[in-house]
Amino acid sequence: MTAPLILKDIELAGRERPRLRVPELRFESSRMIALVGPNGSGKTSLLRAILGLERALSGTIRCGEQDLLTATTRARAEKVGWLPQHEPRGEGVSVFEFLRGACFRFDASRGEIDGRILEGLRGRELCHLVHAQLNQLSGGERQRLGLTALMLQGASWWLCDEPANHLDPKQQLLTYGALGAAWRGGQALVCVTHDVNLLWHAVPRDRWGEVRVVGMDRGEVVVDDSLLSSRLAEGLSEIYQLDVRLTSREETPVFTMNLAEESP
Amino acid sequence: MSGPRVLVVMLGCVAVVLAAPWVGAPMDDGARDFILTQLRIPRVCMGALVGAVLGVTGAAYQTIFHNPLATPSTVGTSAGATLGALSILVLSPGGEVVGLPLLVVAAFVGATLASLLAIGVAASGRASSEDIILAGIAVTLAASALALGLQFQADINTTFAAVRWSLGSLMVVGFDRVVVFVPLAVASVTLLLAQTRALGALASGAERAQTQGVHVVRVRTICLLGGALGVGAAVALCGPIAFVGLLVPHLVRRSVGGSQRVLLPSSVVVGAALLVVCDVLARTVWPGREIPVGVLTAALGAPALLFVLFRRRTAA
Repeated sequence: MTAPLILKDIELAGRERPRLRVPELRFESSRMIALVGPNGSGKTSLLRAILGLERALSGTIRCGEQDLLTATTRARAEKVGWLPQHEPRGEGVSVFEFLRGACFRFDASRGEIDGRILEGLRGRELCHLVHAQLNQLSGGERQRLGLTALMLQGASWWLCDEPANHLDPKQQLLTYGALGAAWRGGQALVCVTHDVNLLWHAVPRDRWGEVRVVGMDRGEVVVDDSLLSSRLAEGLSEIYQLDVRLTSREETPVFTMNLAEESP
Repeated sequence: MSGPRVLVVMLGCVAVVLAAPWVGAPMDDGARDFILTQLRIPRVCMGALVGAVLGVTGAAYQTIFHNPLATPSTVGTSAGATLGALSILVLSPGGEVVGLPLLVVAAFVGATLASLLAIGVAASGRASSEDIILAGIAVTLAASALALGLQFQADINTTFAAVRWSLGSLMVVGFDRVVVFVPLAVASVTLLLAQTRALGALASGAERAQTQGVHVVRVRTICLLGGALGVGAAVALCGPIAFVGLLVPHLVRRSVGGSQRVLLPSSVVVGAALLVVCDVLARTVWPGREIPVGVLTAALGAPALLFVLFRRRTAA
């Protein structure tokens, strides 16, 4: 079982108010965690804080015995890996070199690392890209490659930042399906999303209750509920300032979102 | 894979360097040995070493700053080295420091101080590669102004010598300067090549690399110091030679690919061959006269820079 991620007294300085203020937050690997909230609510800042990409940060972030804020970059890379919103277009960077970067934390021989990369590409049915350059790939291929890189890095937690934001509907479903499959296979993950409805497609029906939705607004956690909770729609209404209702279309639940009546 | 192509390019470059001493005006039998062993071979050795340092430094800088226009010139390294060396040339104290000519030490100190600003900006963590390049341009402008001020204060002969030096030339007699430069060039190239794996990860983005375990600030600092060491020494001994650091990585990327495992070592070899070829042209293109190699590289580099800018605009 992966050690939980525990954030305590996290505060990230901002211009007028803290960009992030989280007194206590605990992520357990037994739940698939979705971070939701409007633009600027602090979702990405929270991920970046855990990844060590934010400097003006106070508090503690622990994964097991490891304090991630004081850990070396290699030690942190063992605990948390990142799937950014946009994979680099990487002019002149080959697929192989991109994936070698994911193996940087390992002291294995060059041959061993190349073997792992080939195995990873085979596992994701991306072998045909082995000689390709990053800037030759489609958005969907780049995202699959990003998932392969995460897998090769082998971090305890995957932190995914709106991984399907710029993809077509089919690729969105495939991406969330792959993330859900990884979680079911024992991979701990936190996924920032703008589309709560994609979560229904990430895991099978019998595990919807294990998806935990953490809603953020103005840098603070204001919603923390299961995907199946009857209170979730109300919480989402509050953070998005929309009229959010849970309905059902041919047995697949859907959160419908409409502008609330009082909105201009 | 590009393996055979890399091999062909590398062998071609080595052949060019090996053949270079025999290219030029016919040699009398009596003076042949002197011309070869005291003039042409030391000169080719110097050109190959300086070209190798400039080539690999340009490749490393372009990767750490994610900018195809990053070179020792744009980050301020060359300008700092030039100011350091000019200070000694104009103020002429001469002498040695820890066995090295003061000129070399001053150029290295100048290059390091200029690079320190880029390092300082890079170490702030939130700086973009554009911020570092802008800081480098500011340092270059300030160092150039100070260098002009120094020349203005000097007498006419010193100013003339400084201007000649600032044109960049590989003209050496014997192996004295080569012997001074070899350990510095080897140390510089070794420091940069030792970062190949980290630079490979950095090529996909600094933040991405950091989350994969790369200590980005440390890698940038090592590359800037390694570059300052080699470029500082090269500038002190040969004067500033522009555009090699810019041109070589682009030539390598286009001919054998952009993977850092190929780019960095290939830039060493292609840089060496390119500067040797430019120097051969500089001493043969105008019979009886010699063009400073820095003038020739600048003449070739300026259209190359425009070509890179044009390609980036059309790609965008």
